[in-house]
Parts: sequence; structure tokens; C-alpha cells
Amino acid sequence: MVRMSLTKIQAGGVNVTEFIKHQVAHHFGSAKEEFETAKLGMWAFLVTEILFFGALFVGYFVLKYLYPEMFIEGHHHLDWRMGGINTLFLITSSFTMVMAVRSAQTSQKKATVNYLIVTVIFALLFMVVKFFEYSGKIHHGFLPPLLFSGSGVEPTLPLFFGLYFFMTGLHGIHVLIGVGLIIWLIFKAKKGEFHEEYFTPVEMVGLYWHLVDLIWIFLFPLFYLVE
Amino acid sequence: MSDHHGSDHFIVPASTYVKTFITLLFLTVITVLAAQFDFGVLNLPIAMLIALAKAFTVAYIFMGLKWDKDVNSLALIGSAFFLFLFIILTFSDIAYRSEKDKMEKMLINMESPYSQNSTDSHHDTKAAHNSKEH
Repeated sequence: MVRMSLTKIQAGGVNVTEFIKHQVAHHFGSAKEEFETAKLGMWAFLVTEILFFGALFVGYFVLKYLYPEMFIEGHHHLDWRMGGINTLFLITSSFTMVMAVRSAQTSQKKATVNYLIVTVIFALLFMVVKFFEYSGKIHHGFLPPLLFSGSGVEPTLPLFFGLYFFMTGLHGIHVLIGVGLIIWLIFKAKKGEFHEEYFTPVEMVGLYWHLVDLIWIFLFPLFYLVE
Repeated sequence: MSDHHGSDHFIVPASTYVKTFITLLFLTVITVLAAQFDFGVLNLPIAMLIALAKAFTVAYIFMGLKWDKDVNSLALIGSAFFLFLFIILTFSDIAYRSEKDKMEKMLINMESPYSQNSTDSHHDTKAAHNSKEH
């Protein structure tokens, strides 16, 4: 089995001195089986993530239904330009991530590393914008709920900022975890661990990263745009 | 399908990803533009529809569900379905709570066990409870 895939690497024109051969775990019949098992496992994890965030979205809808005026006021405290720029950053990073996966699939080591670096840069830019947004809100005393000292017309305004900080904060933590994972990928990619025979970690982190983008796709209009 | 490597994984053309990227940017502009107009109660549904279109694009192309085994799509559709149930069941409660008193008057001798503070109560146990307070 090992010899077979090695000859395939050589037949495909992959430089074996540049890349590290992946050893399929002994309990898998083939590399394909291993890859598809990992992918199904990753999707099972993403399901738990969707339901985890889903509960918060249900909370959002309930509060919006009960206190529509609070949301209109809270919404005016947020700058949609900041959210819009962050949306562009995340969508661009999703695109560069998918190109990194593609580069790994086609054994382009340098391109894989470069696309991953660009992805990290956009993720960090996202966090920089978030930092300025958060520090602005904290400066105005909008930290929920006991620390809330901001002035608002609606008495329920701390609820809005409770949701805002919790949902975007949890999303921000996911972005930071993603940054850590992608940096880990960069080191592995530099060593030559990813090539057309084996790119499972790049693909899985890619899936995670797209989910982070996907959650922001809903957070952006719900907090920054909808009245 | 490409057959020059072991895992026989389909390599998606880069142009597909570029087109998807442009589509997502376009939909983002649409989201922002749609928010400039007031559609009344339709504001939220319109924003959610555009967000769902974006989410579908990301999942179908970027997450590769188009070329994947169906079981992975089932995972996503399954989670979306249960989230939908969660929302529907929660709102079937929240949205009709204000109708509770009206419904109670319609149904004679039927009272919610949660209406501890209702003043027009003539229920036996409730009356006993009230006399204790006085």
C-alpha cells in the first residue's frame, strides 16, 4: 500500500524530497477512506457549532420580537461601515483559504503557504476592526449588564449589548482560534506535509474557517443593518 | 474528475472560486443597499433571505458540498432543520402569550396554572389562596 502511493507520487511528478509522505493510519483501508472519515467527523463538529450559535440566534429573535424599540436604538449605536468592512475581510479570507486548499491539492507548496499567510492577515484585520469597535462601545459604557453605565432611551438597552457582545465575542473567539489553526498549517505546509496525496488538515481548517464566515454572514445584517 | 493522484479528489477550477468570491461581494453590496430602504415588517425577512443565499453559496462552493458525498450535506441540512424547529416552537409560545387571557375567557373553567396574579379569578383554590392573604 505504502509503495503503491509512493509510486503514484512519483508518477504525478511530485518531488518526494520536497514533500513528506503521509502514512495512512492502520485502521483505514485507504487514504480516501481516511480523508472521508475525517471530513464527516468535521461536519459533525460543524453541526454542533451551528446549533450552539443557533440557540443564540433564537435568543436574538425572541428579544427582537419582545423589544423592537430596543433593537432600533441599539442598532443606531453600531456603525454599519465597520461591520461592512469586516464582512469584506472575512469573505476575502474565505476566498484565500479555499485557494490555499486548492494549492495544497495540486502540490503547490509556495502558493499554499502564501494563501494561508494572506488568510491570517485578513483574519487579524478583522480583529483590529473589532478591537476599535469594542473599545468605542466600552468607552461609552455599553458593557453589559452590571457594568453598563451608558445612556440610552430604552431601559432594556443593556439586553441589546448583552446579545451584541456575547454573539460577536463568541464569533471573535472563533476567529482567533482560526488564526491559531492557520498559523499551525503554515508551519506544516512549509515542512512539505501537504500535497496532492494528503491535504486533510488544510481542508478541515478550511471548513471551520468557512463556518466562521458563514456565522458572520448572519451576524452582520442582524446587528448592523436591520432596523 | 482528475485521475492523476491517489485520493481522486476533484480539483475545483480556480475560476469557479473567483466567480463565487465576486458573487459573495455582490450579495454583500445588495445586503447593504437593501438596508437603506424601509420595507416595514419585511426588513428582517429580506435581510435573512439574502444572508441565506450567501450562506448557501459558501456551503455549496467554498465548503465543497457540491462535489462531496451527500451525507455531509445531510449534516448541514439536518442542523438547519432542527434550528428551524427550535425557532418555530419557541415562537409558537412567545408570539401567542398575550392572547392567553382572551383564550381563558373563551374556555369556561379553564385556567392556566401560571396565572397566579389574575384578579378576576373565581376558581376554588385561587379563592382560598386569596382569603389567606387578606
